[in-house]
Amino acid sequence: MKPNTIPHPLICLAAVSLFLWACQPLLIPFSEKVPAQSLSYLGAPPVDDARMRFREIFCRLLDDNRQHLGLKVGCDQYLWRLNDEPPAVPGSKSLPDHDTGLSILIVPGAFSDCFEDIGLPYQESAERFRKMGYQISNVDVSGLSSSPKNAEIIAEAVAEHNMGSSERLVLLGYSKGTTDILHFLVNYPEPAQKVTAVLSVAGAVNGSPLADRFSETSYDNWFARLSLGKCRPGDGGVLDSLSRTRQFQWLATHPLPGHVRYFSLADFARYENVQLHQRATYKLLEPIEPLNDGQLLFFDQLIPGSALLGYVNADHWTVAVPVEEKFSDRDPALRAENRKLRGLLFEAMILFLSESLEH
Amino acid sequence: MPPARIILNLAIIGAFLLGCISPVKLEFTTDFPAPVRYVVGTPPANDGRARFREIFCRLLAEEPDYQGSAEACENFLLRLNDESLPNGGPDPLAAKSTRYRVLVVPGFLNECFAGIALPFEDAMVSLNERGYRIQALVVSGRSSSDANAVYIAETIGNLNLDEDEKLVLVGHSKGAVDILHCLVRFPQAASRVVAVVSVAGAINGSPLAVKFADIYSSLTRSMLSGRCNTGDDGAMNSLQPAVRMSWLAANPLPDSVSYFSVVAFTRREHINLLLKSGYDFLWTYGPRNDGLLHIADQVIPGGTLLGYANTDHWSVVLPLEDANSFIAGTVQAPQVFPRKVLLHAVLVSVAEALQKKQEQN
Repeated sequence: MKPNTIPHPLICLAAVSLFLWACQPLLIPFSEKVPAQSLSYLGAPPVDDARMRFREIFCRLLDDNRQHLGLKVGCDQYLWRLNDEPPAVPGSKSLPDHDTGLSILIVPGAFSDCFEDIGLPYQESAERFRKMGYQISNVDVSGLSSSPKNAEIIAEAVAEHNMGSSERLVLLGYSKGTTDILHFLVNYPEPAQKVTAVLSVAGAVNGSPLADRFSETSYDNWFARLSLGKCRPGDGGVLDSLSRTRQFQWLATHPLPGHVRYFSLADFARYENVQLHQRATYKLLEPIEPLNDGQLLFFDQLIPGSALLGYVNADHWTVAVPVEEKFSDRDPALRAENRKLRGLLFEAMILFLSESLEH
Repeated sequence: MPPARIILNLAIIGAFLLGCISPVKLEFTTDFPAPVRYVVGTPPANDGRARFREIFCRLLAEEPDYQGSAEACENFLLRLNDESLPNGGPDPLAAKSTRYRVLVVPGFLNECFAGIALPFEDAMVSLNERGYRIQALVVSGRSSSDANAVYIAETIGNLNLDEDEKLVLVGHSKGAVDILHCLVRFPQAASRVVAVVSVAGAINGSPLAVKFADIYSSLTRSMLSGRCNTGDDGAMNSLQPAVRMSWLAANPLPDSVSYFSVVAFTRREHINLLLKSGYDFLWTYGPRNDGLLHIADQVIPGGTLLGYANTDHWSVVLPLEDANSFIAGTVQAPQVFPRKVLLHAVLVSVAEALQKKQEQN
């Protein structure tokens, strides 16, 4: 093009602007070639990186069990390796010993009591570890209630929990269960003293933009009125407590107690690997961040000041609860594999905690 | 089909029918705490907003153009809901802010449009008359941050500085990124720098760089031909969020330097006409953006957040009002942003912080 035919740069800029205006929503391509990251409030304590050790433990478990469980998946396929994760050290340490002095209370997520048989995380594995001597029980939180309401229920469960002198209490929170636990720690400092550690799995730490989207509309009332399965009515504040706007604000104004150790295990998956029932919500979150699990963005899942264990390649349900076993049309072999991997993941978490919380 | 499965399927169909599949867009509000998007392992940022507001407001009150407008200060610096109240610090002018040499590094493509405006060019003239030594360091508008880092290091090496004279580098947009690359790659140059100030800095990059990448490469050939050198043509790549955040993860910033961040964002109606579509795209990502960058992505890790300028990505540093009528007409802010006061307040804040640091060592 000759110089005198060059359009004025501002006309070009205006053309670009108009073109962009009319385009589809901005989509960042899915890529795991990014570092681990966290969206946090100013002044939040930093997140530590414990991915290398957690990977060692999980991969070792996977290798040891691969043959008898008939698992074909590679370790790096199941645990995402983001581009800042340190490489494994040759001659790595062996698996930690089990520590049955750990007592674990599992706090399930939103709507957990609506579908009892699929709402509770890691039940199959928990049964196995109980037989090994671990004390593992579930906190019967209300699936439709707010985090302050469920914090009260957790406080009662912790207060009633009988502990031996050498026992250490771990609260394992899944999804909104994590949010409920954090509210408990802040609102009930006395029973919170009994807690040694919190492990968040796919935790709604910063909440989810989906909750803000739904609560803008009549969905809030819709959810409150909806008679899903066997839900108890609770206080109806579930969506409010998952609102990113409100939860982020809450975190910024409620420092978490320093005597508790925090651990975060996050997850995300490619669209094609997300269960059918979470694909619509995945699409809603995709323009914000394609690295999401169908409910939460990957950078919203880390507790401030926690140690990051890793990123599981699974959607929000597959990582912890057996929804697909009841409702999915997925290949039965894939469902069976996911169930077995979930069991190994739980064991890796227990072993990691055994080592980290060693006396 | 089990009843629960029917309910779930109906819920999905209902969600589609009721339109909830449109992207999530949150409401614009300042009733929100300061967010920062951190790479795991990078140091957290500190809060310097209260003191900066104090300095900015006192300097603004001395400006004849803004006197009589009691609310001007609150209008120009947005207050998020976690900002603490000032605690009555000393007179801002007590800090020896004129002892440093200041270089201002412009951002993406700015070299190509240097005839229209350069960052703080109006403010520089005025502050230099008061004894400051501020000059522009115009880097290649189309080059990568690595290429511009070389140029910045060479420029620093060629400066005739007094023996005890230290440098403060101010970077706008990608200029802030170019500066960080220089500090990491050239320790000799970094040893002469005491502070870096990012103004609307593209620290974590922008999702728009992903969207723009293809359009940019096809349009720049004609649009920018003859306006500026191609350089290594890596500018757009340097602004990709994955590139930026991966770089931050792999390159700890030298701790001999103090870092400061001024963040920009404003309401949609005050965004420059040419940035409006960028604002709309970023709105899905977050309503608090400046037309090119979200506020959580403008903060240098381990630095001090000075404040939130209530203006768009360009007007925070570029005197576009003084450009030709077409450009001036794109500016949508109700009042001219006091860039001179902003730069002055930044330099006073930096001097104060460095003085405090020196006293502590």
